Amino acid sequence: MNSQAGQTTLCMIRLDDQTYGIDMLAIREANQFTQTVRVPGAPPEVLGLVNLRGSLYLLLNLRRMLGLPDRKPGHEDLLIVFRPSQGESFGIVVDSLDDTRVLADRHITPHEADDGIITAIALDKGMSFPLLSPELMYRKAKALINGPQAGPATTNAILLENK
Amino acid sequence: MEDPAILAEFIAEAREHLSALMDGLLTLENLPEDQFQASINPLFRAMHSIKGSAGFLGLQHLEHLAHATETLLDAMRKGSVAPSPQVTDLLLKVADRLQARIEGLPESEKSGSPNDGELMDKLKACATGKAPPPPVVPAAQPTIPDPLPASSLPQIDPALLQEFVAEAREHLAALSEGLLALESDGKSQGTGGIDPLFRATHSVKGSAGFLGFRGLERLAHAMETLLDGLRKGTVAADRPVTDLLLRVTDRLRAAVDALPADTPAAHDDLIKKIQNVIISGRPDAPAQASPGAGTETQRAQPTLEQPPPAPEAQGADKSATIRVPVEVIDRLMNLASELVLARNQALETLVTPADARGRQLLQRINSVTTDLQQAVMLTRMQPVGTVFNRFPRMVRDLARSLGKRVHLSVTGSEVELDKSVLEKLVDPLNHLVRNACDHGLETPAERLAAGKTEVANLDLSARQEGGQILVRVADDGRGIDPGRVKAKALEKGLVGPQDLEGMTDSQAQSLILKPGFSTAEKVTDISGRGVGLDVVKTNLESIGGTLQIDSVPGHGTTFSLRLPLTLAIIPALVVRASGERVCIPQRDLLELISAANLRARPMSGRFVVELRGQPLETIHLGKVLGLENSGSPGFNRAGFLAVVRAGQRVVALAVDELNGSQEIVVKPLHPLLRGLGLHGGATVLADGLPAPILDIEGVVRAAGPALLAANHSHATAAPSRMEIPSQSAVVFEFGPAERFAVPLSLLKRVDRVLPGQVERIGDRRVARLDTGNLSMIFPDEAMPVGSPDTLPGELFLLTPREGVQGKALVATSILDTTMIPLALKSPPFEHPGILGSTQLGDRLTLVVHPGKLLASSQVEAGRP
Repeated sequence: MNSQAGQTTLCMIRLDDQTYGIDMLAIREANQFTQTVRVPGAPPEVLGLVNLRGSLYLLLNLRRMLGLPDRKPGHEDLLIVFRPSQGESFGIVVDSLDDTRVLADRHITPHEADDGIITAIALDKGMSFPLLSPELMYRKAKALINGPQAGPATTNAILLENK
Repeated sequence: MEDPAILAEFIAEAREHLSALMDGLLTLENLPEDQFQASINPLFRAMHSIKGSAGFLGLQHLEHLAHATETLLDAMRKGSVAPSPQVTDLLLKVADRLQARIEGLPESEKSGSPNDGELMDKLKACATGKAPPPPVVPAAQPTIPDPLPASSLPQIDPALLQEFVAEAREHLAALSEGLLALESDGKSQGTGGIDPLFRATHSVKGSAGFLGFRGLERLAHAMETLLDGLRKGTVAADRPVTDLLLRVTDRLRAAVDALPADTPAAHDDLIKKIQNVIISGRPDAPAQASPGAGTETQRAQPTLEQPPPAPEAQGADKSATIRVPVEVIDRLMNLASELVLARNQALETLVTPADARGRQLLQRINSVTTDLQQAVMLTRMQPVGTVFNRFPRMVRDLARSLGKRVHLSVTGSEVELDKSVLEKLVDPLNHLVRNACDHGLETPAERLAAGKTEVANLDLSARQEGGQILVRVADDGRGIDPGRVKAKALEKGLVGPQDLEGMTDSQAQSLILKPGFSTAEKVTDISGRGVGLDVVKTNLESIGGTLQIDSVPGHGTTFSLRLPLTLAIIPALVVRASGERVCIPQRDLLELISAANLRARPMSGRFVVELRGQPLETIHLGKVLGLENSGSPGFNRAGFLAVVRAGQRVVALAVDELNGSQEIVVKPLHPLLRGLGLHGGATVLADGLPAPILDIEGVVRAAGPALLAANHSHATAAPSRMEIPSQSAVVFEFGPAERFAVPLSLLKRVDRVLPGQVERIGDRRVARLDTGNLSMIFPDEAMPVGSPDTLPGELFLLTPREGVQGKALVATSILDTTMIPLALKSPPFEHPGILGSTQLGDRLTLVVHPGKLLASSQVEAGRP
């Protein structure tokens, strides 16, 4: 994972009454929730597009990916955007960002992903909680979009890249 | 050399040299004697640079090839070899190979190739005046196959060798003497002391190179570079450095003594040390560019450029430019767009300041923002010449291989386009130029027989016309024979006999754009496959461009391509479908109609609507986009139909609301969403919310296979500019200069007022009308426009539909009620009450929002 040898810094996020950890180094920024616009034709795991300071980001619906009850996000929620290495400019919406913890790697046990987004289980202060992987989130969204129910695979995108 | 940064810089510079070389070679053949020298010298220098730098970096294969080329060029400039098409062919082929090697770095250096050896032999044979090489047919992309066997020594005339050795020894003696003097006199020597040393080394290097003693040459070159660093002051003449210099001199002498035995890598050890010194100031430091290395020794830039013998400016035509990474430009674009967005929102939400200074400030921020955005857009603009410049070579090669003589003239290379459009121009132009050479132009014999000049003319031109770029490929060849085209089209089953009836010649010529068409007798490698022109046309249209053919049989053909200036900003129609806003690019839009009076029949989950007597397949856009929960949403009579073209299909998209036409900045589609096949990009609208841009073809495809047979009424009719969404407006005047328009939708009523109805109350004038009293606000009170010298007796009052009560805008004359576009251009100045501007006839017309205008008006001065 990250930082000093044998340790990982985690950001603890909360959804309803569930707590999850995400590698801090994967996170680029956290913002107050801004209005998103649905992407027509995309599966419900795609929450929509959001405009942050002129750049567009894609938001994924973390609740759906975790099987939690879905609800419409609002101003009290938090927007977390991941670094580009995790997948082109995307983010998620969480209820809140609680605290940051540094855990020794021996307290983190890798978890078999099998279509989910949980990459490990961590143990801290007698409590265990799942660690989520942004990369797995991205992959899952991709599979859902390109899956059987999706539209044709090609697109005449006007501008695919800025290059 | 391991350092990727240095390699990258070498590659960049070598590319420029090669490019200059190739350009120069093409013109060489046709030059008169007196211009020849002036032209060949830069070519020689360019090759010399490449060779030197390659040698310095240890890129042996590249260096050898460059060296052999340099030798030939040298012979040419000395006059011992005359230019000829065969020689130029050879040089061009070598240039290609050099390019391949350079582009393939660093892998390409790992192996030599028998082809290289063959080329070098040819070069040598040519340079030494032996029989010129047989005409070389331009090859396909040169590949770099198996390693070269150990190179053999060139055959050297003993007398020549003797002379060289003697001369070299003298130079080296002078060199070591000079170095010792340098060391003893210390730093105060200045450049005067180093110049002779440099020249001596340079001589040795040059002669060694000419005779093919690569090892000696490389070492001498490295020495030369080091000396150059010394005289420029980028390398300090301290003890270790002078030690090294002396060691090198010793080695040089030993190498000369050992001739004719010489191997390229013989002196790599010393060359490495020299490289170290140049980079880090110390012979034994690791060869890495370390910032702030050493205290006294300055960090020297490795000089990859060979200093040219004459101090003429190298490439004097280099304009003042700067290289900027694309990411930085993109970031600038984003920031500029953001600023425009913020400005738009500020104008909408901030109250217009009460004082003039505040208003002025706002106005200034406003105009600077607009200028900034436009300037940033310019950074993406590149001259079309970057696409055009490949054609002289292509045409030359094509013509030679086809046995034709073609003169290509290129004009308008300086015309600039957004790089996104430029990229799309390459394939169509490739195709058209090849087509012209292959099919359009006749052989010299045919031309003479037809009474034309033997040399055919092909003109490539670019011109800006309004908001578009016009690119033309024109030839004076055979032209397109309508009869022959019609026959072929019939034969291939592309049209039926009844379609040909009443077809004009021009329409017949356009048949060549049909898929599957080709009149080539045999399928040549170049362009006879019959799939070309329709692809060209479709690709052009996909970016909002058009292709037009004008041809006179027997005289020639002109293809005209029209392209928008940029793809980064496109006009689009914003609509709402099932509650969500999406953008439809205007280039796909044929027509926009209200659904109110249409008859719609349900069919297979869609509708068929009758439009002007013809059936039109209509799709519920919200449903196709997956926004509807119910399986069969009804036909919304309060909505609109956007008639679009998707490839060959013409369908109508049923939407609920129109949110106006806008020019939108296209942002790339998120990679994850590509798989949906529905979107072509995204944008941020004026309220700051994102909106997807639809990929119309994808959307129509998603709706399912076509319900109806091809819709002729839309498809074959010339795709004229689609009906521009427009609105009714009242056009009026106030002062002598400006012309105004008010959208009818914003106007409640227009009243005529006579002087007897006007009363003065303080500074104000009030009109007494049957409907009540209206405070008369004059346009020049509300915005910076002019006013008439004297007011006419009869005036007009325009009352807004909403907003301020009891006020009305004064006009001196009402001109017309007419249609103006929904999409307005930016006005000459920004003002809350001004929606935009448009062109009516030959007059610029300011379109105003009367409610906002009146709300912001201030009475600054009383009226007489």
